[in-house]
Amino acid sequence: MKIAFKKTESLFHALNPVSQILFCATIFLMPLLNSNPLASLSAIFSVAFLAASSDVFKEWASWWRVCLFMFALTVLVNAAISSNGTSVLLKVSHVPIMGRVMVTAEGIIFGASMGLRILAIIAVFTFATLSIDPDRILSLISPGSSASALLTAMTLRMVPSVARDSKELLEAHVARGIDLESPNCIKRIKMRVPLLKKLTTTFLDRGISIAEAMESRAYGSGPRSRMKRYVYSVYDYGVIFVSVSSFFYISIISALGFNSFYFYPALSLKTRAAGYASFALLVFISIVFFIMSMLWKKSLWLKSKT
Amino acid sequence: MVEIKNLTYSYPDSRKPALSKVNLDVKPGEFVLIAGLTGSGKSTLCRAINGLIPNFYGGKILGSVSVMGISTLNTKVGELCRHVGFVFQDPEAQLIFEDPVSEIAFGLENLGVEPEQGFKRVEEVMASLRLGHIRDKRISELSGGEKQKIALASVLVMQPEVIVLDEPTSQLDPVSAEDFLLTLKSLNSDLGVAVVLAEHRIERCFHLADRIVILDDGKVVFSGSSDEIAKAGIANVTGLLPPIAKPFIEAGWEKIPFTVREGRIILSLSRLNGVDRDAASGRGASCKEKSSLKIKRKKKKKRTQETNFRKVQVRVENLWHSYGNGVPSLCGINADFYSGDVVAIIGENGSGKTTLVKNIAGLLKPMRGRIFIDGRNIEEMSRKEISALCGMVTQNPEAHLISRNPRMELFLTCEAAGFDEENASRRIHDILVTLGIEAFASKPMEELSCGQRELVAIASVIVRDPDILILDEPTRGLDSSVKEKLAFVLAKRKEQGKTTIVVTHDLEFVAEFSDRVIMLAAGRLVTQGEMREVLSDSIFYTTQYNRCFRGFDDNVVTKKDALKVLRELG
Repeated sequence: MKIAFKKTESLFHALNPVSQILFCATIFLMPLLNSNPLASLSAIFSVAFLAASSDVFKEWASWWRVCLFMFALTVLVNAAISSNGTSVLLKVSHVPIMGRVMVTAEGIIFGASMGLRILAIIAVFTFATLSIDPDRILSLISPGSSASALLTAMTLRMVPSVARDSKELLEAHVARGIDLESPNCIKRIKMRVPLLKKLTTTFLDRGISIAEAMESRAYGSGPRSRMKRYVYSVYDYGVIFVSVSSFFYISIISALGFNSFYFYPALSLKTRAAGYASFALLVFISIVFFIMSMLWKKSLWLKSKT
Repeated sequence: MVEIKNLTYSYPDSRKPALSKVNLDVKPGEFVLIAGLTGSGKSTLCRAINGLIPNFYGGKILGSVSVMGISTLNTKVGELCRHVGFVFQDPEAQLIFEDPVSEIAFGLENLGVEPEQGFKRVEEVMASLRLGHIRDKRISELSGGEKQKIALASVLVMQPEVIVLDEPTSQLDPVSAEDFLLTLKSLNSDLGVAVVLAEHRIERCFHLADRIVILDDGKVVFSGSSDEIAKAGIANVTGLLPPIAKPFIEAGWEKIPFTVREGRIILSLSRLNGVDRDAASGRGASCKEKSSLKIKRKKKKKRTQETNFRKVQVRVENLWHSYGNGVPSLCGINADFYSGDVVAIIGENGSGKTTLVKNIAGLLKPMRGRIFIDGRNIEEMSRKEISALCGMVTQNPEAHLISRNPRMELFLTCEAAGFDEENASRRIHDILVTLGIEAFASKPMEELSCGQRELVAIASVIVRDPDILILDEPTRGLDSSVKEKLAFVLAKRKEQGKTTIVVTHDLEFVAEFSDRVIMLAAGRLVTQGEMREVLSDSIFYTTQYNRCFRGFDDNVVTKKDALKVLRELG
């Protein structure tokens, strides 16, 4: 269930970070602008193809158990709370705290749709975390704000270090017989507070060590140069063109309401052909990219064009 | 190249100087080894050379430090780094990026080097340190040795005339450490870069240095070649010499070896010179010697049989473990740990040593198989029951220290164990005396040296007096004086019939203090048996003494054995 960047030999990983971000942004736009469940589903399918093409499908899919729980929770809460809709499925005259509860088919579908929307957004972010190197994004933004980029890079590296430190700290104290899981809440807090204090000190010590190492390598001694520049390949031009075009197409179609879906007072599908086309387009692009990736893996000639 | 004159330095808020009237010259292309016990001022001296002291740390400074004629006292560290490269102790604490190339290029970017020139330098350094294969990897995926090589590359790329390294191998296993030091030596020889290396375990680098400088309590007590140091006898007193040199000195030999190779040459020469050669040789031994070797082997068999009748304190049955990545880190381990034994677990990094002891301590749950403590399956025991029987000092002793001072740290364990005040005070007093930490029991934790902190961490576990004590790499970063105290604890536990399990790379420590040895490789148990059997059968996983005396007397494993043979020869 660890979601962290995983380097693999795939076409997506070989792309310029600009192309990678634009591709993900286009897919992200679909559930963001549309409440239509088909929009969310198209985004999820697209990301699934991308994850498969980037060899991170297993890691990406590992997150789904938690996501499905969230989905079920969203549906249940919405069904219980929302009494909108005309198709009443269940009526309870009195439920403690909640009072009168009315479960409608529209309420359930609205909850499911919102749940799908959340899942689609998480799916895009999970894939982006797994497949886009944070260092490359930072080097992309560093010309504009080098200090912020560096600070972000350091923070990103600190996260696994702090996680490891806290694990070590917990293990050391469990191993010496300190009861950190006491049923007595006060005792538990009393035992855990010094660990938190120690963790903060360790964190600060690490910060000082990094500062020392940076100063020893001339950080802050004058204007910096930029060593790493990412080139754009033919694939990047293709991905950027397709992503930008799709981005505008999805934006316009959504703004014109061509892929609308109304939940209340009664379910009403107002999606037009152009709307369906936008959903299909997203999945189609991802399938094409998946096929391209497979060919790229097998063909040295295609790889040479990266 | 580096010129230090009468340097006296005190850290802010400290009255006692960390360095006192230090004088040191480093010539171009020289390899200088700075040795000394923990807290002797090695790191402070290194930081004074690259200007972090006083520019980063502040404090009071007297005297002068200059590098290539530039005074470090009034020059920014950023400017000095063109001349002095600095590699820190912990590779984790000095790497900023996840991408190796970005990390190596960082210094050049800070210096504003043109990209074309920078690329060339990065590529050259990566090639010279043979880092090409990790170009596309993430830094967090690399081994400690590879990370430290990246740190070295990131300073080397700035083309300094001097490289200063502060205990760069202290976090590495022996194989990675040796590889790193050989790389360093080849840079020194091929490029003529001057090297200043601070180390406290100097047996690995003794032979690499042109000059050795010994610091004691912030003062330079010796500066000279390795031959001179042995004659001066200073290092022997402070326990800094490589293990192989010690028996030769104690036996009164004129020629002192610092490496196994030198030792074997000396022994061969002595044999050729006809100095009782038959007595020293295992192959060409006299009838009397042959029969004595036979007796030793018979004794070994008897001992193995004896262990079979003793109480099994811990039994590991078909233990499998995986960290969830699908790759098993332990594969079907079967082992018995007898009461009163000190059992050493050895093997390369990633072989599953820590995973095995964490399973025994109940910190990890077995994927398959069972572990029994005193005949009870630990899966049926509560955390409290396991803790009452088994205590563990983890790899990072710092993680144990959360209280203000050592006394409070020990009291915390006693409180958790539910001891009454009288019992707790008695136990704390006993441990403080046993480990010799009574003098600083009420001192703030941050004022203690690394060795003292390690002792407090060990004390925080043994104050509970568990039947099973697990020590995960207890000698890493420790000097000989602290090791002696640890050895005393192990001997006392042995007398009391308590089991101690030690995970370590320190094979000299294993030979001196353990009864049995378990060797792991890639999660599998390669061999287990009596210490002498396992170590004398190994080629790499054995002591310097065994490697040196192999072919002369294969049974030499400990310093005592070596001394005996040398006395017979000499």
